Amino acid sequence: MAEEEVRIGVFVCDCGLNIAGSVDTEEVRLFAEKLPNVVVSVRNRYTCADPGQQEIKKHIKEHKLNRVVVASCTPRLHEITFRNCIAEAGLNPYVLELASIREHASWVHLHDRDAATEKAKDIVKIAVARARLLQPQHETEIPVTDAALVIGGGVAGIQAALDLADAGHQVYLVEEQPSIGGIMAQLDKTFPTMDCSICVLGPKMMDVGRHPRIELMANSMIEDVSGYVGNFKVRVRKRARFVDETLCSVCGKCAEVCPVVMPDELQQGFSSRKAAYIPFPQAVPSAYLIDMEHCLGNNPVACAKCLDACDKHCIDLHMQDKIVDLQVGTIIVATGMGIYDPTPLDEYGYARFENVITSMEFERLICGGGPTDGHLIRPSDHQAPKRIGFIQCVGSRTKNRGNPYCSNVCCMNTIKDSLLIKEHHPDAEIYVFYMDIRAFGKGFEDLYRRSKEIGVHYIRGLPGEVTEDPMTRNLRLKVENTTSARIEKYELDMVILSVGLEPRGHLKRLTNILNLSQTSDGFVMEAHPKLRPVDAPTPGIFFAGCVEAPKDIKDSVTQAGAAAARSSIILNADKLTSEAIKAIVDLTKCNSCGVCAKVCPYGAIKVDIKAKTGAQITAAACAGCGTCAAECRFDAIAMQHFSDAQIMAQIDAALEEEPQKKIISFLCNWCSYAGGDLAGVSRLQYPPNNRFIRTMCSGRVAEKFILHAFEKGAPLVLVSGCHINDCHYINANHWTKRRVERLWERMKKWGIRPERLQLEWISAAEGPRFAQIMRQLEEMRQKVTSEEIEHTKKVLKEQRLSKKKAGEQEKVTEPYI
Amino acid sequence: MQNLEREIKDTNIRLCLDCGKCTVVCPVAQHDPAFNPRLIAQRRLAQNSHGSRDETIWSCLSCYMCVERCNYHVNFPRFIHALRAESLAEGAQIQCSHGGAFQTMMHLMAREDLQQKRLDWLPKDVELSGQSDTLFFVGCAPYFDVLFNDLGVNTLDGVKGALKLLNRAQIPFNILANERCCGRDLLLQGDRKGFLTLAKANVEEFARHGVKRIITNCPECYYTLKADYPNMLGGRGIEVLHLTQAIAPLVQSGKLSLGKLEKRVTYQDPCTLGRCSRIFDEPRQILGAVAGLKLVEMEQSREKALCCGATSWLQCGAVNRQIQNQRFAQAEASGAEILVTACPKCQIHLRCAQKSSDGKGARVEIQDLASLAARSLD
Repeated sequence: MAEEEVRIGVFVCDCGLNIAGSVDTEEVRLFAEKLPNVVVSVRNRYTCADPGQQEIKKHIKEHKLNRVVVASCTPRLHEITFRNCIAEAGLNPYVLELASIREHASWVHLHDRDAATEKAKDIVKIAVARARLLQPQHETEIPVTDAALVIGGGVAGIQAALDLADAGHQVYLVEEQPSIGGIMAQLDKTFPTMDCSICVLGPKMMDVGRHPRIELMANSMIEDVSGYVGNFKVRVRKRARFVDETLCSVCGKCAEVCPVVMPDELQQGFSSRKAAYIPFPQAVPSAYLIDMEHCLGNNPVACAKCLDACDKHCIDLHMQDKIVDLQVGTIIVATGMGIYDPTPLDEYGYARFENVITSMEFERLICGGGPTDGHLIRPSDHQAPKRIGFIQCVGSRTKNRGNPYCSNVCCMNTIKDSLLIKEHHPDAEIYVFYMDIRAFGKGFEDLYRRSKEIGVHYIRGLPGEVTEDPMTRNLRLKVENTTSARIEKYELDMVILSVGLEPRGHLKRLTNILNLSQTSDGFVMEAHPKLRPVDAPTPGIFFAGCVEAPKDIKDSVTQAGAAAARSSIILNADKLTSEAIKAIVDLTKCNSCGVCAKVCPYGAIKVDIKAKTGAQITAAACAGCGTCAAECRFDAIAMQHFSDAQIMAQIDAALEEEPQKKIISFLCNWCSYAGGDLAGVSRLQYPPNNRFIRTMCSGRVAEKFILHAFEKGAPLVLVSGCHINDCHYINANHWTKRRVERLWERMKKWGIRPERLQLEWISAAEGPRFAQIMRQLEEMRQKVTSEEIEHTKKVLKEQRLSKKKAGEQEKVTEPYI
Repeated sequence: MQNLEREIKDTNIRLCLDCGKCTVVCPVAQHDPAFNPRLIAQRRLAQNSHGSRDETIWSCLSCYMCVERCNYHVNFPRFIHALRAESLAEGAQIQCSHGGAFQTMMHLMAREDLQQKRLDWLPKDVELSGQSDTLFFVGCAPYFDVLFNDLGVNTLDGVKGALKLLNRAQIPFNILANERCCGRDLLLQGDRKGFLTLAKANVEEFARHGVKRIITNCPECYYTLKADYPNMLGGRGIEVLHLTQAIAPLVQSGKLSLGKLEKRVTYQDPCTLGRCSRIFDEPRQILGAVAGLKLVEMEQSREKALCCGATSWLQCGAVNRQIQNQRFAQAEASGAEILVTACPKCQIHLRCAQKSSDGKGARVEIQDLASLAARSLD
């Protein structure tokens, strides 16, 4: 491609008085006119308004502009507006650069017109320097497979599958258990409506079973997932049932004759099942299966009584697992929850006393479909318990064996249980031992009131110990009633531990396959807790239900609908475009060291370290954080639209004149720059000595940028990004931190004060803190002597030249990480 | 509230959920309805708490059972120690047990011109290595035996046993002639100044003799030297081992063989060694290495062990006696002939209760762990 002449148009906005009130915009316009490659410099009252935009288009045509700089407000407000504007004039939207002289100059230096104007001029100069090097970019189009994968067939997965299928999309529902239904199928009643759980869920399960667009794969596991949004490839293992579910008529003869008896895990072990069994009567798929782990054996066939008994001949003891490969556009993860096992809490005696049970075990005892046909009896003597105690927060809200969070549903579950017991046994004495009763949702407080009205006792205090009377097997509780500050003793027939919710035991297996992050409590991490609660940080993957955090059925169903709707947005599109900020590998320089693959938060890079074939970046999966480019020691990765050359040019422009007066700050787009914008919007004042360079992520800030700034005479450099666990690109800022720490060590060795490189994590909400840091930096800058700066320039130049002499490529013995 | 800022932060007292589990498991609260660890903290942190004195703060045993059960391991004992310091600074007079004899003894040991003749009990056959940078810290055993002569409690037996074991294990050590009380009891009472004087004097003495490592038989000295000294004085502190930590690995690996003793024993986990320092296994390993010894556990053992009722020489009343009787009942129920303990305070308090409790616990013999292990060597 022939190198065309760069023709830049600069449009300086008055923004009414917002900018013109404290910045001499005419002076800025005149200054811009004189910059190399600027062919026209225009001033406008309101550039974003229609007349202003028309003027931009007019000048683009008149002056054959091929780069546009708009000096106005923050790009986070109007970058898209002006991109669309220049696109309408026939230019590629990526040749636009915004110079924020409002949030970062006019609004924060209200009382020093000269300084504000000088700073605005510098900001425009920096923007022009970048604009000079901007290239047209093309947003890649990705085709979309119109199909969705739902992992998990509990109420959330069922709802998501139905919503997507009803919207016209093909759905694959993969469920690990032999039947869908999840935890909700094991409950008796639900709060606050006191609906029968399986009665409500059953019809939905049937709908899934017979929906033409839902392919249900029960008794199946996800083996592998590859690809990216719109184009996922999924490998599913359909584990053998040993029964042909299309032929089975659920007659039950196989179970009748099966000799193997074992505890029924769906009845919490209170009753038994056979190795040939159906999980529960309402199971979908409606078919029996053989539990081959406990069957007497199929190699050789030891028993075969089931085979003989089956009229339909649908049992095949040599059935094999089947591997199925699917292609889907989106994935919804709805794998549900685990339940806390209270055995470690020896003081409650769960493992020692028969009549201490968990809330889940209670659910089966009171359920009509349960092991006792719904007659509430206690395990030791099968008598109806008259005095029952509930202990709340078992395994929740604690750092002392259990989990630190609140499990959301246990308070309401106990209130519901108390009403259930009273229904069956109006004379029962029920005590609920609690720290707080959390009845926050619609209808919740009403249920709590009903429970109190009907005579359930609520005692504020958790028992310190539970002991057992060896003769009666009654439980004795000692508890401090904290409202009266007195120790009380209770003798009860049964104690129910209100156990908390947990992430599933083997969630790690799935999060590894899907490259999902987990939060500190083990649940999956959402893209943004407020604004994107059902999105995974990885595009195309969504969450619904308890996999994301403990919640009740209503919230699970709500999330399922949300996940389905957001999936639909992708599936409805023929093609997806993704922003053209991508990493590109120069294979001639790539050493296949594998560092880029290690640091990529999205797993978008694959490197075969042994074969040395070079790093392969999947562009559609690349989010553009730039961490790989910053970590690559061979300069083999270029970032589109935020290239090394552009950033270096911005540094040069900023430090061309009077560098000792300028502090260079690298700000990440999502947090720090936004924090700066907020400081501007709030009109917080700070000294005008800072010059900002925006990158998408602090992970982009390579060592060489910082050293270049120091070598050009910068007194101070600030690197700033999101707070450590809030990085917009999952965890890229961890690498920023390590990089800066390493650089501090080297600065010390070179005799450069490490404090001259500052590292601060500033969130988008921290406007005041941003301003304060600006003030602190200026105070520090004033203490930096010119001797120091000269010494730094000398030392860094020597370092750079000696490194060049030693050869461009360093011998890599071990990567930094 | 400024003098409590640090304690409030370090103890996590604001995280208290008011669940009341601490009150239920507290041995004092079990027998004294007026004592409530949770309420002590609440009362002090309440809005208008200045001026009113909470007399119950002197009853805490610092047994750490509350910390063990608490959802956030809120350190109530440490908070109570701070309240005691505050109370003393405001001029409160505390009632000491034994007529204040122990407080007097500790203050005497804090004097600069201290001259002690405290090593007369040292057996002639104990090998001391003057050059060693390992110090055996004796603690106040020599003084205890004088003050408790009438009880027939012999805490020095434990010390002598420890020395014999160390010699047999060929671990060289020195003993200081001018060792002072570690100061723990003063710290727990709220006498920070007294504690710091003792601590500084000890640390200087250690430095003067080039001490790099300390072994001690007393769990309270162990915890104080290991944790409280660096915490209150700053610095990194010296390596400190409890005797069982030095001996247990050697009996486990077979490098040190113990002898034979055919008895049923049970083990009293001292609060400071067990719950506070998490040393539960080493003492049991040593007992397990004595041939013929059968260890039976009491109903409340290890993390749940019941305190012996010691209060840093502040109180000695009906509540403490009831706690001790409860412990004896558990010891007898276990069927043990010997109640083994690894702490001189446990030894003293249980022996005292045994003597005066009209026959309760009379059948069980109280012995120190090191003393028993050393005896088996004969």
